Amino acid sequence: MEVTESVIKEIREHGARAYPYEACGFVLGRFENSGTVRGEKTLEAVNSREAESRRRRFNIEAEEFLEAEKAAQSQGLDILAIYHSHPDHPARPSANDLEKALPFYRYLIVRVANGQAEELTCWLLAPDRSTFLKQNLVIAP
Amino acid sequence: MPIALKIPTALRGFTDGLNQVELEGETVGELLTKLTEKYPDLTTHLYDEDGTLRSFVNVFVDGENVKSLRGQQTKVRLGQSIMLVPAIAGGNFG
Ligand SMILES: [Zn+2]
Repeated sequence: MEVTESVIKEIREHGARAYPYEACGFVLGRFENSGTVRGEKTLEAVNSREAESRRRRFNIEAEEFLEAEKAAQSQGLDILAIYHSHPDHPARPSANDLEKALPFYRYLIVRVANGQAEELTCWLLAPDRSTFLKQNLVIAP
Repeated sequence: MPIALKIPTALRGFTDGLNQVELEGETVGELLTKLTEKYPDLTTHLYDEDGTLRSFVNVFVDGENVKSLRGQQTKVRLGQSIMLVPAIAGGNFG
């Protein structure tokens, strides 16, 4: 997946701001004719988990998903990826992420340690749901 | 009479790219069963190993989430707008 530098910056910034809670949101962009998936914008979502579990869980309600899809379409874009942060945990999908993952969308995960955004990784669910497959994340202008 | 169920982008790879599928059924649950009969590869994404509908699978009938109606028992009829909508969840726990 290709993303602009501002997408990376915004995800890291959101992750740091939400710390010690999990931040979550969408990456909007385009599927290019070449087959490249190109993320151009982020859209922050509300983590609807109750306060005490927001440190370790995130949840974006279906209603908010529909709103995000509308927002993307009104800009001529599509939802390409879902991002979330892992406060004080590695930037690897958890068993819980896998259990609830959607096919098709890329999952971006940023590790936030002590309020500082660190590693950012990109994943795609395997068709049989057995695992997440690590994807290249390329910063493109 | 078949009823049209709108398929979200994330799942169109399993419905031959179709954004809506015509199905026979009187309830939301029946439509979902018919959908997975027609496209068996969808089953693992909609249901867990115990055959329970995954928590992130939502169905909206005329703009209302059936979780606040009668769930899978919610009746459907021709002319209603019926859409499958994902919620997104995860986290670093477990
Ligand atoms: Zn996670």
